Amino acid sequence: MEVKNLTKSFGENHVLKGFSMKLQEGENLVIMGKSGSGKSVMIKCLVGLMQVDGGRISIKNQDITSLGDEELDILRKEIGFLFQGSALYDSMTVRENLEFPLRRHTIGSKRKENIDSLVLEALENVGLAQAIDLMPSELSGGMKRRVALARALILKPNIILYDEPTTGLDPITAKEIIQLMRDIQLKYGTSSLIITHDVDCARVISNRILLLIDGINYVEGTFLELSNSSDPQVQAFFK
Amino acid sequence: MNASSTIGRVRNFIIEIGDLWLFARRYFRQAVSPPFEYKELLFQCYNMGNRSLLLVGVTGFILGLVFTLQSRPTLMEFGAESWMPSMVGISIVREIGPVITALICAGRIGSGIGAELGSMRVTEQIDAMEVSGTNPFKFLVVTRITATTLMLPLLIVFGDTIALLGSALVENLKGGVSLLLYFNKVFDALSFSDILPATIKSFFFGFAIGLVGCYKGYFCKKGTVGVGEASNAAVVYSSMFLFVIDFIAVFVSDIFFEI
Repeated sequence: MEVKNLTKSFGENHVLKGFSMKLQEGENLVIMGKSGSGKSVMIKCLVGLMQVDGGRISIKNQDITSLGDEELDILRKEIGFLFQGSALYDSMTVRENLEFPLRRHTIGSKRKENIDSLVLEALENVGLAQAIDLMPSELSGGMKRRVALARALILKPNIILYDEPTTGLDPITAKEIIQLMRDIQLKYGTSSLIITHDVDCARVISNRILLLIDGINYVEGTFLELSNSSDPQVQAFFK
Repeated sequence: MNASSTIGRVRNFIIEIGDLWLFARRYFRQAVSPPFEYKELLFQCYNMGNRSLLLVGVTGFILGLVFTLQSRPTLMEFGAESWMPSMVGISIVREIGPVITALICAGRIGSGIGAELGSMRVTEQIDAMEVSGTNPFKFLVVTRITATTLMLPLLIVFGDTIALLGSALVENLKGGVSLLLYFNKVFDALSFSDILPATIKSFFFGFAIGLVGCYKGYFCKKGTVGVGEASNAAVVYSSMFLFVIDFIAVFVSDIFFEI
C-alpha cells in the first residue's frame, strides 16, 4: 500500500497537506499523531470512505481514487478495518455480524458449511467462540473489540487497518488486544497499519513508526530511534 | 427573527429539497440494478407491516367509531341517517383513512427509520458495512423505501376496513343496521373513481415516509443529538410531504374523475 501527496480539506480546515507513506508486505506500521491531526481522516481515505482532494492511494498497484464502486468493493476484500468504536451491527448477533461480510464474497455449493466454519475459526482466533449467539449489547468493551477484530479478519485480508485499537479499554484488556494483533500478524502474515496514540501499543507492535504532524508525515523510524530523538515535537509523544 | 436569518432558513430548506431529490434519484438508480437484497426487503416488509397492524387497527377502529357518533346527530336532523354508511365509506376510503394511516405510519415507521439509520451512522456501522463490500445504500435505504412503498397501501386497506367495522358497530347499536346491510350500502356508494386515486396516492405516501426517514437518518450528524433530530425531522418533514402529496393527488383526481 502506497500513499503519495494525499490532501484533504474540510472548507478552510486543511487536514492533510501532502501526506505520503508506504506499507511493506508483512510490516506493522504505526501512525501516531495528536488528536485532530487527521489520522482517522487519512485511514478513512485509504478505504474510500472519504473522497480525497488530491494525491494517490495505491493498493496492490490499483489507484483507489480512480476506482468505481464495484472495483472498490472487490479490492476491499483484501482490507480488514477495525473501527475505533468497534462498529458492530447492534441489531445482529455476533454470528450474524461475522457472517455479514461473507454474504458477498462466499459462493459455491458448500456455502453454508464454509460460512459456519469461517465464523467459528475467526471467533476462536480471538478466544470468543462461546459468545457466538450473543448480541453486541451483551458484550463488554474488550469483547466487542475482539469480535470487531474477528469480523475484520473473516475475509482473510492481506492488509488490516486499525483505528485506535486500544482507545477506551482498561490497560489489561488493551494489552490483550495488542497481543491478539501480534498473534494474528504472525499467524496470517498480514500487513498492518495502526493508528494510535498509545505509546505502549506502538512499542510492542510496531516495526516502524510514522508521526503525522500538521497534515504531513513529519518523521519516521523505529520505536527506539524516535524515542531517543532530540526533536521536541517527537519527544512530546514518548515522554 | 431578522430578515437574514429567515432568508438563510429558506435557503437551507431549498437546498434540503434539492438534496432529497438527488437522494430519490439515487434510490431509483440503485433499486433497479443488481444485486437485489430480497431477504432484507422481506424482513423490512414484515417488520413494518406486522408491527404497525395493532396501532393502525386501534386508530382506525376509534376513527370509524368517533366519526359515526359525531356525524349521526347532524344527519338525523335532516332525516338522512340512511346515508350514513355511504358518507362514512366514501370519506374513509377516499381521504380520511389514507391520510390518518399515513400520518400514524410517519410517526411510527418514519421516526423509527430516521433513528435507526442515524444511530448506525454515528456509531460507524454504515461505514463498517461499506468497507465489508456491501453497498449500505442498497442494503439499508433501497430496502426500507421499497418496503414502506409496498406496505403502506396494505396498511391503509387494513385501517379502512377496521374503521368501517367501527362505524358499522355504532350503526348497529344506535340504528339497528346489520353488518351486511351496512357494507352493502358502503360498496354501493363506492365507485372506481373513489378507490383508484386513493390506492395510487397511498403508494406515494409510503414512498415519501421511507424516503424522508432514510434521508434524515443516512445523513445524520452531530452524534446522539443528531439521532434525535433525525428522528424528529423525519416525522415533521414526511407529515408535511403527505399533505402536499394529498393536495396534488386530489387536484389530479379532480382533473381525471371530476370528483
